[in-house]
Amino acid sequence: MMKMNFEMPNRNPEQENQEGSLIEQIGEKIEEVKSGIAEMIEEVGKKIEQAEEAGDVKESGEEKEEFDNNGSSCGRGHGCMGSMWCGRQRP
Amino acid sequence: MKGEYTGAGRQLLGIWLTNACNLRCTYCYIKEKSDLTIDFDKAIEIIHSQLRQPGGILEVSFMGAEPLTRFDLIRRIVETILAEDWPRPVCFSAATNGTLLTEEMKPWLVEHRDVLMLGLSYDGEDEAQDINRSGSSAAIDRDFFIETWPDQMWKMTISRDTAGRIDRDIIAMHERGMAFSANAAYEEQAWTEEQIGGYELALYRLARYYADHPDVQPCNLLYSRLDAVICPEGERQPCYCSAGESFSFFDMQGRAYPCHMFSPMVLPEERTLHGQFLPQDTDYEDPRCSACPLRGVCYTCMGTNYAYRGDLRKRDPMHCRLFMAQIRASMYMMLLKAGRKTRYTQQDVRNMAAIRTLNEAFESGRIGME
Ligand code: SF4
Repeated sequence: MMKMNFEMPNRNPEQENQEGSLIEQIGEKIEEVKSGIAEMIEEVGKKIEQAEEAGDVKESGEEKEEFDNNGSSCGRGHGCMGSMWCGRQRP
Repeated sequence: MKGEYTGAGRQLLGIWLTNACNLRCTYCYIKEKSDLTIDFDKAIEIIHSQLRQPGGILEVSFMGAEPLTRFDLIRRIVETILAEDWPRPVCFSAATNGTLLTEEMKPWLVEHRDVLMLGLSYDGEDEAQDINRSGSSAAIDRDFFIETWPDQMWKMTISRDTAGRIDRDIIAMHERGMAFSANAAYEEQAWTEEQIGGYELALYRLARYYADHPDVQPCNLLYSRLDAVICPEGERQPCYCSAGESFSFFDMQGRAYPCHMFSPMVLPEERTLHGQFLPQDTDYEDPRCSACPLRGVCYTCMGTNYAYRGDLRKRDPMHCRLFMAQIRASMYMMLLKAGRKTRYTQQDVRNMAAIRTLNEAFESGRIGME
């Protein structure tokens, strides 16, 4: 699996239409991640399948079973009392 | 009777305390700032009216522009209410920019910390705070907030100017040991394509950080239970918000609204939507989301939908794009984590199945409203 580079591309002051080319470069990086994800699905998926076939998959237990969005009940806080209020409902 | 901050049947009562604020944050949605402040008797009348009704804990939230501009009033209201016995427990809270806290306020706040909780708005590293919030980092005694209210989440807002650096800002929040909720603000200032792309790249960097630090619980932007984000076939988009249900808001005249987003604090008078309650059984699904498997967890704010798009159901396409980026980054994070494991659990198996389903949905264009 290649190591993906998520750094923001640098602006090149020599180049015309800097804005356009920067957006293009960001777009290319994001496309790279998408194909990287597809590749990882294959690789990791295979490992998990093998573990399943070998009967080597434990019951979960250490993970929280309930749906957890780590904060306000709607997940939105800007302009909302969400983070002040719903966030505190978590045990 | 002093209240607890959690528990069933609790009700949040927002009171518009003041229009005054000493900062000019870039994403502020408050229509106009002035010295206008609620009258003491009016505030007491509103709180009494709610305390007399049956129910669980009543949390009174002092809202405004900046509540600490009127600390004197907060103190008087809290002491007056606590001096009487009520049939239901009561407590207080306020979200603050923290810059007006003085040494004189501190002893009273410490003494009342179990009944009045202050939540700080802070946007990550000091530099981000200064970019978004009028260069205010040096004026805030962060340690006082951490020590006095260790369980209170901080509000971290992501603006278009800090979108490309959220990994640094979120890591800074974790390193300070703060519980926080990070949220993007895009309604007041539209984000450029570069800023949206920068946000997505920063999310991937953040995903990598969480994979490298498995002991740090991912913040609210990333999801670890990917099977739980997929909405079952046939289920409608839920109404997540508590506005007009357990939350209501009163303005300085004592008029009620489902939340402040429907009030003259944000809207011109002719567009305000009065009434303490909003029907919760109404279908709030945006028709553009009907086929999207994320519709079950994709949050929406009915108040901003109404304020900025004139329709309770109408989501912002920008929100859609940012949320899709969060889900992709969550998939990446969970794949990285799973790739490093040597033993698997049933939850890994469910996550993997969900990642496949989500990937197919992204590829076939079923996710997204456009
Ligand atoms: S991701 Fe977009 S299409 Fe899907 S539910 Fe959210 S806003 Fe709607």
